[in-house]
Amino acid sequence: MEDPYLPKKVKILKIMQETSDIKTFVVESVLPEHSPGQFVELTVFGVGEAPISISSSYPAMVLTVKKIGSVTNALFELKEGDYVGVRGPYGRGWPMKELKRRNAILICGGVGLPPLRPIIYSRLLDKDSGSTLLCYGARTPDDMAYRGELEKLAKQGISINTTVDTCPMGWKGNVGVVTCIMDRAIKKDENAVCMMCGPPVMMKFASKMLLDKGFTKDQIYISLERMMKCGVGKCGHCMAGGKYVCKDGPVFRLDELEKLPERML
Amino acid sequence: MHTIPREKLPAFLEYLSKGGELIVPAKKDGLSFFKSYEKGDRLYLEKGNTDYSAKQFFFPYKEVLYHYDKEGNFENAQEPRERILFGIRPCDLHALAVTDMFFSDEPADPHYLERRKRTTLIAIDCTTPGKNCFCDSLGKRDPIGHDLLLIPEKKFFYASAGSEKGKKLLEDSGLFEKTSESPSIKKIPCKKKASPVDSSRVKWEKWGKLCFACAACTSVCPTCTCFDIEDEIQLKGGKTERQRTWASCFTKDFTSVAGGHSFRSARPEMLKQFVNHKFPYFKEKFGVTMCVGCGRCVTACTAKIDISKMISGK
Repeated sequence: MEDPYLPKKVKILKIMQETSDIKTFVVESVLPEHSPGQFVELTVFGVGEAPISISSSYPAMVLTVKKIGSVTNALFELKEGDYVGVRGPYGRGWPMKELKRRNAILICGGVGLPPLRPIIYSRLLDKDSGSTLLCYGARTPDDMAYRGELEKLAKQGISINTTVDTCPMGWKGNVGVVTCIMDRAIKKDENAVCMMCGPPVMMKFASKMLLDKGFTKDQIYISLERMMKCGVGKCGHCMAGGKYVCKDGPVFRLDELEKLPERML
Repeated sequence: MHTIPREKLPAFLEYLSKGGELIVPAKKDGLSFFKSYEKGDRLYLEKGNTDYSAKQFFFPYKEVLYHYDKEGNFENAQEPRERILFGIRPCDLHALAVTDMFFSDEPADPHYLERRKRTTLIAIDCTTPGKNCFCDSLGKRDPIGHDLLLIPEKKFFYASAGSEKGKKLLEDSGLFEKTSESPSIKKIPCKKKASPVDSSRVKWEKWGKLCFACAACTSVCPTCTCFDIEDEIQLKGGKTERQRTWASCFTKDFTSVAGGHSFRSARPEMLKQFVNHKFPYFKEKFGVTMCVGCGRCVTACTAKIDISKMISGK
């Protein structure tokens, strides 16, 4: 019988510093095929495990991580060539089939961008895909992940809209919460699928704004964050409203979420 | 049907202990629990249930899943051994049936299932329920999944096999006699009754206000299986243990993510999760309730919350 809790040892191939507290780790790809929106359980040896979303398309295994807990703090001490443990991929990701030939609206805050990143690249590869629009909010300009990459993506036809909560003198971009740029950038679109990942409060207001603009609940997908110790629907920490966020989610459609007997956002 | 006189029970226990670690119900300092059998142990066999279930023998409070070295090479830490669990009551058989379903659901949990596979279950039928039992309201009174069942009579036990393993015990021990008679003993019904209502009709605020979130209920519950996975560096040898320990949905940390946000911190919400998991959520997925009506959480509750009343909408 296969042991679902046993990690595989992989080498860190490359590390990129994104911001002061966000790094991107490219690790050896040894796990089964993953799809956008799924996650892995990452082990830092001698410290423990944490769930980390995958920020690349298969076969690459790229993990963009914010330094926030004990495992990620230890991960930031590691160097290229060091080893970590991974198991997965886990969860139900973004509705990629649903997305075919339709427009994609991506909304995220902070470190909510990495799990949406593989959607953008799958859109670039698919000539039949509709338009792709990103609304991304960060605390400050220096807290923006993938800054250089976003500029390149803008040149490749992705509509990139960014905003920051606070900024230094001389910043020419937008200031304000992500709903401010959403209001200007997003128009009612029956042929769009909206996907969001970020702090619960942001997603609550962002989905409310989409509904006010005339989007329907079945057009809105939300990736939830929960504590996940096992990733396979056993440890119980992520259970909410009768669903295991790690297994039945982390991506849920808004109308599915609202039917559950517990407030999810 | 077979019988065994009561005075032959010690000989049977002796016989069983040759087949592996024998676990029996005993009572000490007013509390009844399961323990490894030692000669001369006085068994706690009748009158209600044990205060603690046998959960820890399948899903220990703390278990080491793996050891691993600095290089990240993992080794399985479990040493499987044969066990005989003697004196388990029907409600706890139902609890095992429930946890079997849960841990067998894909992806299956080999750590639990390995222990289960290696354990022989010798059940004792329950004639006199405890004061907080309500198993019969939930249809969990009749024994299931045992290898051998003992039905107590005054001077002897009836014995019936529930599996090939059980049949072999009846034959090979040489302590049982065949009989054409059948048990006459009457089962006293549980005093407490429960008739689960829809979750929306349960008075969460009323009961939740009483709750201290002490987690006594989840630790005595025979079907609570939530857990943590933590790494602990060993002082000697440079190895790390990956441990699995019990977790409780009544702690604030249970739902807190990196950065500190907790998704469920109000006690009525915690209680709702606990009870809904036992009833509608589990039933929807597996077709049975997770709660077996053993009443242990009622006995253990420091705030006198009675789940049989709560789920009945009182």
